[in-house]
Amino acid sequence: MQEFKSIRDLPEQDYFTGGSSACAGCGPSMGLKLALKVLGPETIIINASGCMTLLPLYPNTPLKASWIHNAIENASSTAAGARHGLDMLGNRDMNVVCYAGDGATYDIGIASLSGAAAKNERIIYICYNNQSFGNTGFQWSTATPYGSETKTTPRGKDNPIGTTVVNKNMLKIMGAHRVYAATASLAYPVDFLNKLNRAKERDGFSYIELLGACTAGWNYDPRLTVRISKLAVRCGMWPLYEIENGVLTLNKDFSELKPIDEFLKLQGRYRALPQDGVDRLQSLISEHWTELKEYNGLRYV
Amino acid sequence: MREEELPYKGIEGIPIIKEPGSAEKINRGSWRLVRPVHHSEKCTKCKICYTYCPDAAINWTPDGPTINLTSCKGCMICVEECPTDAMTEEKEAT
Amino acid sequence: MKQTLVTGNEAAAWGARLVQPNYIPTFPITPQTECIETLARWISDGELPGTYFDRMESEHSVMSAAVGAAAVGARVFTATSSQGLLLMHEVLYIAAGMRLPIVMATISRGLSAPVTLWSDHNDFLDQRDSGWLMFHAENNQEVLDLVLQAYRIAEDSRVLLPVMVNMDGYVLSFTDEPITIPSPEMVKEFLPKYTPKHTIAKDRPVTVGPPVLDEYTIFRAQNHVAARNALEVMEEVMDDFDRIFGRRYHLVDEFMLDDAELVLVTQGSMSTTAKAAIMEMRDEEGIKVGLLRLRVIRPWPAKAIAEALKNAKAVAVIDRNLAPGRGGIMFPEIVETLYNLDRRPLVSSFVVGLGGNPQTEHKVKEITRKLMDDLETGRPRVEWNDVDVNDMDVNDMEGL
Repeated sequence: MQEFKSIRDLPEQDYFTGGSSACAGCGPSMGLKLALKVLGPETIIINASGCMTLLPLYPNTPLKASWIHNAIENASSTAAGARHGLDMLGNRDMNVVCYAGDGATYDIGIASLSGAAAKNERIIYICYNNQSFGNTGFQWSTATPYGSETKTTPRGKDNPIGTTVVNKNMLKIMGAHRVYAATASLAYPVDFLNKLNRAKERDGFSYIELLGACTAGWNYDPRLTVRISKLAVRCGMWPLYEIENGVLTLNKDFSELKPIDEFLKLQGRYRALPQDGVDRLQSLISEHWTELKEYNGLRYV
Repeated sequence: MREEELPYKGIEGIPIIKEPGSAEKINRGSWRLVRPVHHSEKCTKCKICYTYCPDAAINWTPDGPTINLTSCKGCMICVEECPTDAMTEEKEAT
Repeated sequence: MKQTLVTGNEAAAWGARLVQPNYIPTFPITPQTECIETLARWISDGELPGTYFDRMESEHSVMSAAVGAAAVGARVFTATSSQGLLLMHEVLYIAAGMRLPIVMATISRGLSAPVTLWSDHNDFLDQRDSGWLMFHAENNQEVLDLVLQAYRIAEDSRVLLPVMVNMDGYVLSFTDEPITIPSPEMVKEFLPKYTPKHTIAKDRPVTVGPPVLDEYTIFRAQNHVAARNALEVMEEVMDDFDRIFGRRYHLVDEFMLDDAELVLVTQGSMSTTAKAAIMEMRDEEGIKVGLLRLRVIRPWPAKAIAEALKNAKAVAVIDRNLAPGRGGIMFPEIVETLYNLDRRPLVSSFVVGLGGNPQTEHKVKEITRKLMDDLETGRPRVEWNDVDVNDMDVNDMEGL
């Protein structure tokens, strides 16, 4: 398997063009562009309804690969059908890759996702996690982190915190399906594409969750997409790790995490989060980080 | 009773897109308030700007990056991330 | 070709076996389960080497997987029933809008709440605006034959739409009937190899299911045109079916209509009972009554229906379904079909057989007598013919 060492090694072919209606600085668009470098044109992207659904707009598309958009809750089952259809027609070489947001993955589509993963279908599932239902204008999902304000968890007199529910541990859920599960960040494209290459080689289901920094929803200057993605990793909000056969490997280890405040202060969604909310978020992050360090190299699920 | 007049004879209108990458011709340059400018004398060809462009508006050539101003929406990630200040921004004339 | 006793579920499974689909996504639900169990058995026994049998996590996933497979050019079969069909509802519109020729057997069962396992047609008729073409079979032979015809029609380049073949739960699904199972050679002659032209292939990157702007109306119109084209295609396919298999089908099933003054309009398995009652009434009482069975629900065969009813004086539309607050679902469709004719019969509405309430010959005769009465008085009626409803002591029921 090809192992990329640096950004200079990444493929120079792109199967993604400009001209889409995605926001300037869109993280999930960048993620798809990067993914297609490794996946190539003989790929079907199975999209769940969300921001990315609007990349193609009849009669134009920025993709130089195939694409199926079915609905929001069924990317995995659509992919299972496409996979078996292709296999039965002798097209085993084509890649079937879901590209779905966190709402479509954590919430409305989890039954379909769990089914495909449990059956170990030969599918790569990339969740671009922008920590909300983004396309409808930034509403709460079970991927929204504690303390984030969303349109359906607005801060107010009776609720100064905004999102009070602690987000699902999706990687642990997917790891428990005995599939390959990994996190990825736009600020670490070499790590992301190596993981994707690894998923491509596997004869079974892979789940890669990419933090999809969202300029509109997270409310930050579009130029900061990569910087914020890097801070998410450095502050422990988005640790880079993978689970295979139940064993956890921490891909980016740091002796010390940066304080979460560095990540929060760049984004409007955390503006006015009271100090006790910041403290609680910091302790949740530290707790998760300690757990990952403790299980690094060990059986996690 | 009169026969129903069917609006479009034939069924050629199946809602699929058959031309890959056809969006490339769409001009998103009008979204820009600022534009990136590349200074090759400062460029180390590290590919960071090319890798991080969310709209594939920076192409890679043996001589370094070229900017496609039809696709560039002016997010300035390339300017922000360039380690050697080889990308700078300029205001668009309004 | 062989004669054998099979249930309706097995007849649908035989239809699938003969067309050899590439992909069968499934989820069990009463009373459809036997159909997919039969297919699973054949798959395990190596009878369908070109088919992948998939077990999904819900009916929603079944139809989603069917869409995924059909979008890459696979031939797909599936089956469902009742609540499962309703759970698919969202994706049914998508399959039709994407113009994917999926074929599905549906086994009618009344809808919850309250829960019933027995048959009526609300589940099936709930899909009538989904863009699918819809067949309703009367017996098990017809179930098999319509599955074969469904693929020819669905895959025809003038149509490219998904097709449902409905049978009544229990009455057909779990009842053995003697049927003829055609030989694979005959099926091969009838049904050509499927060569999709619009789907994704290795050398043909295609975007399926993109959002559209102003083109929406055009695509919807094309969907309508394709469904209307299907009427002509169905007639051609039925002719060809007769030529190869020697069984004759039409868009509508006409029974003793030549001299009929009274006509009962029915759907599904109750038609067999009604036909027996009609023969008795003709023999014993000399009543000039006939029957029109709706075989094709979508596209609506308006001309064939109007033609069949042109000499009738009174028509009873017998609906085995209920739109609460409205009444029988097919009654207004029939009335609309007849309304603009130069000469139109009186039309009465009867709602019967909900949740498997049996349609006996006695009830059919009662409806016929009521229709005679309507014709005499010139006053059509809207009525429930389920005597049990009126006999039930509602005071004994909790909450009433």
